[in-house]
Amino acid sequence: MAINSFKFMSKTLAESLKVWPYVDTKAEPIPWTPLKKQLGECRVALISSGGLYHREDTPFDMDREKQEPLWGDPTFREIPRGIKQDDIRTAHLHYENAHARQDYNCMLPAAVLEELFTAGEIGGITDYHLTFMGYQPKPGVFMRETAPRMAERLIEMGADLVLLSPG
Amino acid sequence: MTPLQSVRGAGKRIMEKRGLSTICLTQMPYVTEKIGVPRALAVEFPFGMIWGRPGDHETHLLIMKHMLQAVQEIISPGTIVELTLRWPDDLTALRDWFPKEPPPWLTSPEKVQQMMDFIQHGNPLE
Repeated sequence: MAINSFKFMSKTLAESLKVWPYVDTKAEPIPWTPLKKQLGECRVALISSGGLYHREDTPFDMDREKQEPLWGDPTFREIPRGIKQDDIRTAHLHYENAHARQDYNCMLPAAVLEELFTAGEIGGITDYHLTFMGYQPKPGVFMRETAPRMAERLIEMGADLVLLSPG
Repeated sequence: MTPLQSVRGAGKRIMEKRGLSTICLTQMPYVTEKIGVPRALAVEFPFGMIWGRPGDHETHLLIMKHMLQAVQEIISPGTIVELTLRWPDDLTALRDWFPKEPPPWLTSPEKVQQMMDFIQHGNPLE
């Protein structure tokens, strides 16, 4: 593997990531849904775990995390297609938010997706993209409730393909 | 970032099981490989700017095109395609991605220890 996964992080953070108890992929096969259509016919959705939200929506709860550092807000938000930069807010304590506040496309690349749709390279875009706050030390609620709800919401919007990116 | 990684994996697995095709962008293929996600594209970019710098439309588009190409080409679950793109200035990246105030769990040696104890002995699914 040529990429250094720990290149930009402190020793403490890197060490914690190396010992984290990850899913045992040998116990359960990796799920697989083949792409059912040509890309030019697929409706595409974006998901970011960067803590982005619409300015009129409820922010991810950073106050509680400050009180309970092993807790992270497990809910998700919807970002309307075509949202303007001024309507985007961020609530995530684990990366520098200033860049996304300047141009949210460095976290949720909606602009280039629109271009590819106009060029006919993808078949459509969902009415909303989805976001959550990716710091989840105890991801039980996220796994049991949030992720299945997000999946249902994407199916409701007719998504064929979901592109996910981290904070 | 620690737990985020495991959540990312969980979310994708749940969506893929539900019948959605997924691909993720990752700056940590070391972790992505352990989690086992259906398809991934890896890029050595810092947190907070995984698609490129603010306003760097050209890089956002380039990564998106690679991602859509990877979706069509990957035929085996767990495949990670690595991009050869590199962040131009490592020192700037180190300075720029980390928040001005450290995350709550990193604010004292006691809190770091609390996290380490949890990683070793806690139940992440509680």
